[in-house]
Amino acid sequence: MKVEVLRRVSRPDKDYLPGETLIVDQQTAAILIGKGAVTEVAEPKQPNKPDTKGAE
Amino acid sequence: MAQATGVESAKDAKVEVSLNGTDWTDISGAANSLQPSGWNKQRAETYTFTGNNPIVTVGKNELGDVAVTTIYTETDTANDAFDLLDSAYDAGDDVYLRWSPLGGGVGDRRFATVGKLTALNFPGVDASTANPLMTGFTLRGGRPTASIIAS
Repeated sequence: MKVEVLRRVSRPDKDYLPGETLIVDQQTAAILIGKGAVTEVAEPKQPNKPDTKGAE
Repeated sequence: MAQATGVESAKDAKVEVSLNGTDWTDISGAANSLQPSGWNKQRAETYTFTGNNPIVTVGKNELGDVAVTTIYTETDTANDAFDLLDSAYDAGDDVYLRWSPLGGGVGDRRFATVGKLTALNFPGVDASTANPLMTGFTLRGGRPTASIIAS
């Protein structure tokens, strides 16, 4: 799950600062969200195909 | 005001040291206490003819100390801070220290700092007590960063 960091988050590879995003599993995300450390990033919707009807 | 909840003791705290900031050694099995102090802001004050109280200004953060007490052993060298840190103390190398008051699990808070060892204590001996032999060290460094452990 993609989350955005609200409060500094520590992982073995590095510390993630507010504003950065990272991928965590759902269980971890739930804990971190509960702690106010991250917030879920809404996945962008697939853009609509351009409407070509009536273009001619 | 409602009484605070979620209050816990430090019985499960986790303390780790590193000589490079990447490879950490968990010394929780040897550490007995950890006491941070310092990191006050530089401050000054002046008085004016009007009013009774001073005008206070603040500057940069001062350094602080973390004093860690550990057991002393000559057999379990992997957990012996004295052995782990002896060379860094002699060389004046950077030493990294981090601790998690609630145990270091996912969602727990962790504090981390880096600095120099200013003390690496020798074990004292006293024939009149049954106390375990103890040693310890003091690290002087910058204000610790606080983070939430994600994994």
